[in-house]
Amino acid sequence: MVVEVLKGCKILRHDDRVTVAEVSPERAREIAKGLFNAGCYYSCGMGVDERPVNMRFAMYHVFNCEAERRHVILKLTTPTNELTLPSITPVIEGASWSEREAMDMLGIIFDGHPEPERLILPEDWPEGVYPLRKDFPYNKKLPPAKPKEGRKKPRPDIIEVPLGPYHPTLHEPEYFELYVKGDKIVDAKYRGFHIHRGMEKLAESRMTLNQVPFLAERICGICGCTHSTAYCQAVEDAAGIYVPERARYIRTIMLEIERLHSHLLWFGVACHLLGFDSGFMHLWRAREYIMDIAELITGNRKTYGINIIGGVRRDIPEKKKRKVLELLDLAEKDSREILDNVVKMGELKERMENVGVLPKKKGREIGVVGPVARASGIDTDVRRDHPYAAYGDLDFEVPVYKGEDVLSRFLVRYDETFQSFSMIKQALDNMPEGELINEDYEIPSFKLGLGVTEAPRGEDVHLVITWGENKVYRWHPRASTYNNLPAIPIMLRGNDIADAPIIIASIDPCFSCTDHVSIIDSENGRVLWRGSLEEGIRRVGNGKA
Amino acid sequence: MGRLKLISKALSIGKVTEKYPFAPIEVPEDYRGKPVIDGEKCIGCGACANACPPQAIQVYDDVERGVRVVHLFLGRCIFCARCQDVCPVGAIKLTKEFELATPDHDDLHQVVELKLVRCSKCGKPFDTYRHLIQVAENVPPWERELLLLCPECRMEKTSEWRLWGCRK
Amino acid sequence: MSLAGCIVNVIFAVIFAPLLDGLERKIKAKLQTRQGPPLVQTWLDLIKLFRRPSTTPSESVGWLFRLGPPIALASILTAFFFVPAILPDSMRFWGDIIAFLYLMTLGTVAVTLGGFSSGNPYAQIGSHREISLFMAEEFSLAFIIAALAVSAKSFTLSNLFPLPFKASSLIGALLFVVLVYVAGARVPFDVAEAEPEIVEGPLIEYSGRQLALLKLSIYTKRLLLFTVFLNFFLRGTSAIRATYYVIGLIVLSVIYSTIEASCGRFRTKDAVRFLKRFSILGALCWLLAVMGW
Repeated sequence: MVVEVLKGCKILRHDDRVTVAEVSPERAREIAKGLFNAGCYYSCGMGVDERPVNMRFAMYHVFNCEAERRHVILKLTTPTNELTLPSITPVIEGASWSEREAMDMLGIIFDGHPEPERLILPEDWPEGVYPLRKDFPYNKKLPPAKPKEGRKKPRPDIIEVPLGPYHPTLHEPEYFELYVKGDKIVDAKYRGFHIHRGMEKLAESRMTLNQVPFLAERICGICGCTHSTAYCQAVEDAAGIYVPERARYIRTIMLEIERLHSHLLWFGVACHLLGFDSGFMHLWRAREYIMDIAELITGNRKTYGINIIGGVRRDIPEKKKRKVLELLDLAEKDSREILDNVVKMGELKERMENVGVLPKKKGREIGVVGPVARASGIDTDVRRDHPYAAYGDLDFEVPVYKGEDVLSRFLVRYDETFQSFSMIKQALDNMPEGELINEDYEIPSFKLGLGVTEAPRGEDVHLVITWGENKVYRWHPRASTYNNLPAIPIMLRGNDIADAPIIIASIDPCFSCTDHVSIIDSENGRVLWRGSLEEGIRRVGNGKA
Repeated sequence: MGRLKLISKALSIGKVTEKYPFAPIEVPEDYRGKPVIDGEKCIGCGACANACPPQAIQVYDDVERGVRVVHLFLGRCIFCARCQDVCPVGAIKLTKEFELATPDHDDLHQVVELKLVRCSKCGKPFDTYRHLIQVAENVPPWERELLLLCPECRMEKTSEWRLWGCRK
Repeated sequence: MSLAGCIVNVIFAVIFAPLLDGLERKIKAKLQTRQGPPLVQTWLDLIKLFRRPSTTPSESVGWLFRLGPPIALASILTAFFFVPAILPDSMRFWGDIIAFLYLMTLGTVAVTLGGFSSGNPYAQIGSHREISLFMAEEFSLAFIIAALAVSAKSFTLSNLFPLPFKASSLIGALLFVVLVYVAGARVPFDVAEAEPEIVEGPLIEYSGRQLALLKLSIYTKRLLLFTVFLNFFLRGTSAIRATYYVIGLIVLSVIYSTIEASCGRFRTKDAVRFLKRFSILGALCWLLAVMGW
């Protein structure tokens, strides 16, 4: 039981969805470990500069306890006028990135972190300047500092293959450094966070509460709607805003339409990476029906702009509903036919089976989410475990595969696609009449809200601290790829270089989503996982190579 | 054989891609394309500027020329249609037009200028005629004379009323 | 047998090969429900490339890198001197078959050497793949040719044909059909250039004119393989020779690009394994020929 673990802590909030507990720094590791052992995984962490309120910095650790259908948020605060907090990374590996992010952006020092290095800020960012602190103006420009020199020692027997920052496989700038022996990858390095857009700072400093959904939607070009929904839910959670039933149903429909388009897009890309361009074209043809549906309902193919705090902005009248159902049937028929034919193709199946294996235990430690988790036998789905929008009223199954490889991830998405078709139809049929938006609310000052959605790639978490004057005090979006990315080096090790693109693609990576909070990493990539190059070589040498 | 089925399917479907730049593309009725401000309807209230997430619309007073400028810069627009939602008179509408590429920067700007009313007391321009007319409909007749005063003078006037307990 | 005829053949190959590629692109587009580019698109691309300057990467072995594309194209075009194309003229001499094989090899070696010398890791991986694939492929080609040569007791290309009606020559012809597909670097055997994996492999650092030469050498190589098949293995009557040849090219293009559009890419090791098995078949064919079947 989660509550037992939290015994002796100050409980700030406890309802049927979320528990917020203030934990004293000495007990942080013990409680974090206790939560992990109770079946919760580390979901995300947010550092906050709370000095204007109470002269302290705070770190919020969010745990997802699916078994008990609740999120547990541990709040750690630094002593007044100090910066030090204990790191929980030694007991929970998944917390590593979040803590390093808080180190970079706020200057909180995490005691006992195994890799207290920069994750997000670039090398030429001056020391001691923390952009997310409240006393740092959003429009301040700094002269670049001189980056630290770093030289890599080349090894004669190993080829370094750069994958990115520009590569036809990666549709966004991101950098993987593969160490290759013959055709085998012995190790991989990930250097990320090139695509900083400073969204958090922007939202906090120059936007109003109801403008942020449109910024949130632009975190990702593929799963934007789910981000804006998560943001709205977080504010609605903080302010206790009632969302009308019909609005919840319309949100559900749009989220599932987004999942459909995203999964069909992924299938197409997967076919392209495996050299089967005809499949790619066919799948995108089927996807076009989904884009038409979105355009019909919202007025745009991808940026739906449907969400606003308290409800949705556009209705689905009867006439459109009929047209949508018609298009859905066409899309379902087509995509089933194409996908069934694709999975039968020997050479494609061959290239996905037993490739990019992520063991279940490792996945849990990192805290992978979405199809990646479900393909490794981890039964998790926010829609079922923490029902939001209208998901509680719908009938659907969560596919789980135990193959741990790329093929399993393909099959999870395959099953999900057809579940989504059925969910949209259910939601359209059962949609109640009524209001679309509730505009009668007041925003409390300095209140924490949590919004969680299941994006096509997994769990998206948005934490919002409201502020009076129609503003957000702190907004922290965490995209699903943020949790899945650390698993890629593990998946890559020991595989053929020919399989690297499909392995990287198999988590359906969305680098911009992940990087929204970051500022570039230039030189000196760093190893973001345990295990050295030598170990990697030895392992491959003994095993498959 | 799956792959043969896909081939026969492709042959039966024909071409689905369009000859796009050479042939027009249809968009649905409620499409969110280029926003257009109707200068005849706009009252210069500034609601759109408040709601606009990327701050593509700016409303400011040019006191020297005595006009209020409603300036829409399409380069910043994200086509969310929030302006359309909040406009009290339906002056700004998102059209079906989406081909906005242009070699001329000026094509991306829409400027509506509305004449400002000068305060009947101090002579300072403070609001547009149209906005005042719009507001006047919701103001009781005995307070309408206040409308022609700028906010400062209005404040002065109302305190005078309160002080003397009458309107004269 | 005039030299002028041979030169006409070479010019024909250079002009016609990109058009054939344009046709294949059109067919693939059709199979993918796309509009597809116009027929002359490949030519337009090449002309554009010819107008662009070429760059040489600073880490490369410059002279080797620059020498790769012209040698690749020249060796393929020289091979056209031994094979009649649109005109029935060709140079015939004892052992021209060996010269032909060497020229094919030279073309591939030039591309891979250029790739290796570019200093780019992708080019090195691509060249590595190209070589391993080519070894397996050349092995089977040697067996097939040897089988045919044993049957005909000759080392002159034109003397091998028409094929004697034997089991070995039938198998040999069938194997050659597959080999034409493989050597044309088509999906699933395009592992050396695999764009999503290793970004065009050996071609990655080439640009402008040099890239155009390399591309042209790939197109002409495909045309050369088709030509060998149409002129020797499946020869038409001399009266309608030119018509037969052009129609044959188009038919082969349609068939091959249809297959190409319905396959995914092999891994290198899968492709090599396939070719190894394939060369065992070649060896069997040769044994049959030796035994006189």
